[in-house]
Amino acid sequence: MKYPFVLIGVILAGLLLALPLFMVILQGLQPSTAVLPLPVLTSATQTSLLLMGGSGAIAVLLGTSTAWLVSMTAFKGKKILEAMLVLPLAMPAYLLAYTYSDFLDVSNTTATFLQGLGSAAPQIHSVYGAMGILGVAFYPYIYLLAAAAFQKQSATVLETAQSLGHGGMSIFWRLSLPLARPAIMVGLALVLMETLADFGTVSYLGVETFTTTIYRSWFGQNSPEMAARLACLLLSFVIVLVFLEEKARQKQHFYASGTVPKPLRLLPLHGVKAAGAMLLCGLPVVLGFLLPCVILAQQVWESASRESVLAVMPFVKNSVLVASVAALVSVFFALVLGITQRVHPHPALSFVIRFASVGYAIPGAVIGLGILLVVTKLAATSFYGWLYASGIALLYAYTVRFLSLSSQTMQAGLQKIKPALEEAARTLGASRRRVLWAIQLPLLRKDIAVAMILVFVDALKELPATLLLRPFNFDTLAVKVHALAADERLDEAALPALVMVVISLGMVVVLQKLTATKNAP
Amino acid sequence: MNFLDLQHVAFAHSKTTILADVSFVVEKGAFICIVGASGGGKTTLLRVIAGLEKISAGALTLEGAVLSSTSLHVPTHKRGISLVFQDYALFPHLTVLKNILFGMQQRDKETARNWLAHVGLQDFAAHYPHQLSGGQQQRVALARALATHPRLLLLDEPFSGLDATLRKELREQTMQLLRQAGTTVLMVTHDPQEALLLADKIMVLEKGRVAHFDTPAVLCCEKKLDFGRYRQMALEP
Repeated sequence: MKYPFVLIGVILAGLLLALPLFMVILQGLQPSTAVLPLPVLTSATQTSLLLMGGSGAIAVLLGTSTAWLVSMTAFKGKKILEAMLVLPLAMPAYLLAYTYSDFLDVSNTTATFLQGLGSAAPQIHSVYGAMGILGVAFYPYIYLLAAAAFQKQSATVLETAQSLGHGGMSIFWRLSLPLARPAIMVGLALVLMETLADFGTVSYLGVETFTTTIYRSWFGQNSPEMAARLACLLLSFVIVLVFLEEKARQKQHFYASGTVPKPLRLLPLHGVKAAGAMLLCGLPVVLGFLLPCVILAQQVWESASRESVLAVMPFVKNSVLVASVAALVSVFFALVLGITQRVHPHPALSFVIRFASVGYAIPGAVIGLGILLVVTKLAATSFYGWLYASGIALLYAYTVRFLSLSSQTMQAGLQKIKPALEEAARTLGASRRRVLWAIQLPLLRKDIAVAMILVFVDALKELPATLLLRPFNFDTLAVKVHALAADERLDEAALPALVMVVISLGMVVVLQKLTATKNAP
Repeated sequence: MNFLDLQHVAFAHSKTTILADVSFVVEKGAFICIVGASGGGKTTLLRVIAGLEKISAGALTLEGAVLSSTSLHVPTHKRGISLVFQDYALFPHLTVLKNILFGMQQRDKETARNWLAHVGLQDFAAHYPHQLSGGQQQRVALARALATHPRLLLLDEPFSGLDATLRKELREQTMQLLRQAGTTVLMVTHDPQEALLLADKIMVLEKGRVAHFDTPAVLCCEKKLDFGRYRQMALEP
């Protein structure tokens, strides 16, 4: 009896998740008079590719070098830098764009100072500026994965290489780096997906990529057909990236298999080398987190008043509310999918879970567009207004986009629970329900918390889908900051931006604590 | 009446036959050891009896009541059969005492403590599984299983992860405890010495079929199976 019920649930869930994407593809493939001007298409493609190349290269350089230093060497201040290197995750890329734009403004003292030194301030409102900002914002993806890969490398392997006559640099290039390459590739794929999905940074810096062109087509030229076509093109890039990521993950698994590694003996660094390591690890933290925080804090200090603080409160409430609900909904679905798959393994369910894991790769703009297309189909009904006003449309977008985060965390958590534990409980007389409440859920406690925080932080920062689908008169911190920055009211944007960073930072710190003790009972 | 009765039981997974036409009966209170080559279906047989796997043919009855057939499957938690896993499967988030209490009908802490005392771990009630040694974990797993007063106890290579000295010591303690409790036991082992020393009857499983099922004396002396070799191997220091 349970089986048809499970299957129907699975098919419904799958359809619901896939619906926005199907709508985009359907609309994109429809014959239409709307023709995308070739120069616009060429320019969007070229700029997107250039941006991906640049931000990817910067992220690989920063992520890999810092990961190697904190994993393989010992130097003063390493512990604190190791923890701080993930902090840019709490800083949305578009906030970096706003703060650096202001910091390097010609009327600003920094620009004057740089001119005094005989060098012009970097032109941030350009594709190169966007490259730098996105590279600095997204390098932690590579850093985290590469550090884990370096730390898993066995001392025995590296010592064997030494005994075979290889020195430090040779071992790095010929052994350490190739062994960590799959992990770096997975990180790079994530960086490239984030770069493709970015809207806030590029729209503010005036860089015409796929996402900004999609927006302009819909809202500027009132052409959903053209927007959908562009979205389809963007999706084809995403599919290539998902494929590359999948390949790299398989390789990563292969590389990581084997016996328990012998712990590495760290290379002690002193003097100039230690200073160089500190500088290299400190630079991305300063550029990606500390400096923007200082700039924001200074602006808040100069312009904030009691009224401005009170004015921000409704946005804080809205942001926390939608991010919390998104976290709850995503984690609930991930739990239901994960546990059902464990109890009643079924190919249809595996497909839905795999599909959900692709959701994160699909840019918020495309998901938002898809849901808009679904919603406009209902325009004649009273359901239409309700979908918007209740925030259901927005939550739907968040669930499609972030289910992968929660689902992957749940899958990882469930994999760690040995089936023997559930079976032992069953042979001790526990029903399936009791196994769920007494064994599975308590053992997944930390994974549930981790998944909720991951979704919360990302939903808090989410901009493109929120811009499209938020209920009327319902602004989140991200939307408010974006609107103020777009009007060049950067001093006013500083307070809500700083609040957003502080909330994200708090969550990232909790996350670090949770993951550090994740394996303890 | 036969206590445990398997008639023509078969089990296949992903079109691979793991158990093919397994039939045997076990008397109440007996201690049966199951031996055989790796992949012969020993663990699967225990899982089928515990109800963790559904059979594809045949019937399985316990005390006259059908537990598994092609049309019926009594859920694991309603069978009154406890299984001690090879890696003990202690619940890592529960203390030793709570692990024992988990399966007990009356969750009486005193009784649970008594079970811990039976296995000499009365001072470890508040410990978590990861704070125990391998031998201690095995004893908790055994006490946890016995505390449910199972009609039938299944042991899947319970001593395999332990060193030789500890294995001998624990084997003796376990046997004493099981004889006291009068529990009917089916134990999978890869150690022929264990089977020869402990079993009332030994079952040899080969390619999913019962190749032999008799007392150690008959198998060793009368049938002069490979068991002589096993015994020789087992007696080596």
